[in-house]
Amino acid sequence: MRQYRFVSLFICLLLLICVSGSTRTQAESTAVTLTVSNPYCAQSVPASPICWINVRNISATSSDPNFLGVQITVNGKTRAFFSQFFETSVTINKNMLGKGLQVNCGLPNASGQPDYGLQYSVGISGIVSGGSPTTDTANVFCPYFVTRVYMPAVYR
Amino acid sequence: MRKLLIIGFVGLLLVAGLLLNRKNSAAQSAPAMPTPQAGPAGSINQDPSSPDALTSFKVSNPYCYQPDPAADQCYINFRSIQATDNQSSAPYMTWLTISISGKNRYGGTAFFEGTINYTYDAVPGGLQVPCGAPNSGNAGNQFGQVYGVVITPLDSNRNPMSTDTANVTCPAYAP
Repeated sequence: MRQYRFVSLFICLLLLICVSGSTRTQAESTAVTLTVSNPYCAQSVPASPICWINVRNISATSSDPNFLGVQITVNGKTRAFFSQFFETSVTINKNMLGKGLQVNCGLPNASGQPDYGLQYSVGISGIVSGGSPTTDTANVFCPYFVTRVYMPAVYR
Repeated sequence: MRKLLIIGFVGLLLVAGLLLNRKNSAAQSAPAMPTPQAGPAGSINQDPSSPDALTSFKVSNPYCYQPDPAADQCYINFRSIQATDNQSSAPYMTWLTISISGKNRYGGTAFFEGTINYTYDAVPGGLQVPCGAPNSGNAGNQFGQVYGVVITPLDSNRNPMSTDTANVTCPAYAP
């Protein structure tokens, strides 16, 4: 009986490991080699509901003559497009996007994580005209924003 | 004991199947990304009267981004631009300009030097332009305007020595 319990527990544990969330999906394409490093979200002013999404660096290389460039989306909305100009590569670093891409931080636990606000799906795609893109999708968690209301002290 | 082995074997099969499915899903379930409609990256046009004076003219990675999706404000910039003059024969390169929609937006000067370098941090944030409505540049509904950005090294008489035109596609303004 004890052995049955042990085996059942072992199988349940294995199943739990397999179904845990993944924070990155990538569709492989032979046309574009895409390297993405350290996507992040930052709240530069804690009293502000504004957060900034950025990526430490991105590199895309392709020998395909139909290579167009790199597209960055946040929750499916295109926010940046980097072109190649008679080149075979696109190189992006965090300083090229100024402060980054503005998003709402979100309230505590908005993403289901108690220490964070909203979660955003950041898509980075190497685009080839007439072909399949090479896409990296990163789930980025933002710091939360808490509204503080200060009541006046009323004396009677 | 036999039952234990069967349970263990079935469990292993289940795990292997899940792992395989997850690997395939990762390769197949990437979200469909809108593809900009095919268009030229731009054009390179060198002044035939000064092929020897300008020894190098490189433009790299023009781009456009929209920091705030609620605002019709996009920013155009370049990763780098470099123009080099051999300085041994006239005409001599003196200025470098960047123009958007016919308007000069940046002017660099060669100060007793043969090279003008531009990097994205020369104009922090980039050059502001309207993003444009979805498909306003015929690049698809995810994109707005497509700007022809002209980069021109000029000689001391303000004559163009070469002209590069980069077609820069901006995200759409769709509040």
